[in-house]
Amino acid sequence: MALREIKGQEMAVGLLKRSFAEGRLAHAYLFHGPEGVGKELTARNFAKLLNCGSPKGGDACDVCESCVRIQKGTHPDLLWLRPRGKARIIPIGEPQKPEKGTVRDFRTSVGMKPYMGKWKVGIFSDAHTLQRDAASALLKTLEEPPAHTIIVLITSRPEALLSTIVSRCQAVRFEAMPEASLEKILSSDYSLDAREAKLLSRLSGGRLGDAVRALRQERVRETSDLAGMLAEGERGYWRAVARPLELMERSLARAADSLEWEFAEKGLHHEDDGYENEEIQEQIEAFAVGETRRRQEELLGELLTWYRDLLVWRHTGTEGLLLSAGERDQVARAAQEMSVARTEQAIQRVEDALRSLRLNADFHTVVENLLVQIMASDKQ
Amino acid sequence: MKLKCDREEILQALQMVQSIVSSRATLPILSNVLIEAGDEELTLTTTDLEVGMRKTIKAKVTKKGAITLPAKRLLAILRELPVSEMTMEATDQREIVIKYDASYFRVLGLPKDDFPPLPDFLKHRALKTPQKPLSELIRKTHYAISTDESRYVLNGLHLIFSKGRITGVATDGRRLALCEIAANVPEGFDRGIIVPTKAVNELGRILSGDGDAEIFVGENQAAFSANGCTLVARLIEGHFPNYQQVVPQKSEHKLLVDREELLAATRRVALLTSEQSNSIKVTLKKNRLVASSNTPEVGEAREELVISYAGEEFSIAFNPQYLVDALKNLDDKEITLELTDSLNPGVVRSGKSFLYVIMPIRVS
Repeated sequence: MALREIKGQEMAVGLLKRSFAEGRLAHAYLFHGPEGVGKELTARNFAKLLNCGSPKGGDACDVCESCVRIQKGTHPDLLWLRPRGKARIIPIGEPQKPEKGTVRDFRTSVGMKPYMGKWKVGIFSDAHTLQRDAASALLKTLEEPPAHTIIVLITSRPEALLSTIVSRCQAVRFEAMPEASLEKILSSDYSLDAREAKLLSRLSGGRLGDAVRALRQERVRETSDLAGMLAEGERGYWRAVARPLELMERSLARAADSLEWEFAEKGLHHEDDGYENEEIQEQIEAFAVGETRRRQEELLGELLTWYRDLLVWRHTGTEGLLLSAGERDQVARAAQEMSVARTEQAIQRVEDALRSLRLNADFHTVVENLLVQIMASDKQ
Repeated sequence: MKLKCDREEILQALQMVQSIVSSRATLPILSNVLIEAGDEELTLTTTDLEVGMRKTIKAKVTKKGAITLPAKRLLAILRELPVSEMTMEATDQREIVIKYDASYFRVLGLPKDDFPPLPDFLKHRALKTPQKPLSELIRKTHYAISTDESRYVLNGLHLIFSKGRITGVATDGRRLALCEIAANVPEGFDRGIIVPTKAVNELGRILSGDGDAEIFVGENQAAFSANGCTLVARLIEGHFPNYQQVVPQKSEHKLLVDREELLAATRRVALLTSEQSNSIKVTLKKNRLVASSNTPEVGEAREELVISYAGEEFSIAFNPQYLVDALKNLDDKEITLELTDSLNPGVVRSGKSFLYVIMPIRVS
């Protein structure tokens, strides 16, 4: 693909294309904005444009050797750093013999002339995971990169970066698109029916990348099933705790399986999986840890939305304000059964559970405990 | 691809080119060696994107083609093969069968398309120069290359091609080594390049024997060919600092010193230094050079060399490793040590072609 095919980021893409066309490229860019809206995709396709052998109409051709190599992740002038290992950090590296994927190694690499392209493009995914000394070591390179070097820092948490880093980069803002626009794209390009499209654009908060991922993992159905289970009036451990928990864990497993896809998109998937390549293994490990955590929070988020809907229904009775995947009748019935005080208490408990998760508590224990508490409060 | 070749020959070629292959490469294909079968020859290529190595050997090729195979694994196989001749046949783009006697290996690889292309230097004009002096130039300068990657222009050997000579300069900001050799530099070849450390080390390895080496310089890369092996080095960006500024124009005292004696004395005195106080003192007094170290909590050492000196007595302190690096890589029996006082840089000269500037350490 090329920059022209990126959806919903007209501002960001326009800015990059213009600065290329006018020959006014910045040394360093900071792509910031929510997860799953296309920051990495844009960075990859910006790298294509910079090195394309025959750009057309201010965009990359996507067919020349350079474009193909960048797409596959085999272009020698594309230096992509990602958080590594379970700790998910981008380290500074040993002083004399820095490992690949560290800031010191990056500095050595960009100090060399391009291998085959016009520009060496250094991309840092999740730049906020740069360790503090690594970030400091990068400052000088950001301020005055060696010739033929362009650096792109990507983050969803710009506030977690050193201000000295931020001030050395040209900021490029990425945004989630309005849910209505995403709905349209989902109906036209992914042939979803109206209800699914609406639910998915709501679930993904207008983030196309997340919507596509959710689609791949059949999350819409899962989310509806979960709402259905929560709506069931009949209680007891099996129905109120074990079944939803099982569903969530199955969903996590499915998310983990579908990571293969993501690796392929990031150029991390190589057919020679049999070969020992520690560098890529560490990146994959880091990525898996991050994704699992995200999915866990999303699942608890679903619970939060459900109880929120019960309150909204009770107070307004307006279907249009409901956000969860539950059917109107399910919400109405459940809202009837659960008092406002108990619903509010449930919301409080989900939020506590989210906090525990962020403190590295075990998902199974946290969620089981949460559901048991909510069920017990129902019986009072 | 189908060919027959000599096991010993391909093993040696692979040993030569596999040294730069790393298992931690960012691209998995960099762990592989590119094998290309052409007219009656077989070419092995490896690269880590910083240095590329290529070696061509003879082979009976019945079908041309190319594939990449995991270098370390192929090396292990070739080492163990109990025969002197073998055949290799690619069954598709990513699989090769090595046959000998009635046995075989089937090895999985990757198609050649993903392998980073090595630039083609044949269209460039070559500089031909004997290997021996070039290898000496590297030996006498490589140790002074900076390892601090924050000043990337110093992370390599600066090679300057000018009329009639090649000059090599390396510095880390605290010492500078310069060596000049005579060479038949063609017209229009004049320029300066910076060759990164790893390439310099590998180049030192492939230069052996009396034959000529060929040097090609492109926009971003340079290639060095010797003994059937070609090394392609990606060059460092930017301009090497003006090193002539740091060479003292003249020094007060020029001393002729026996190289081995000074080297041995420095090594011994350095035994009583520590990481915190890593300096030795060189004191000049009437017809004596005294090297000494004195480290609190450790002890002291002192060595005296007889020299010819009639000036005032004074001392200067150096990092002993810097002295050792230069002295051990020289060949002359005697070197010239040039000093002015305790604050000005010291200079080591050996013959007309070698110069070493070493910054003194300030001691109270």
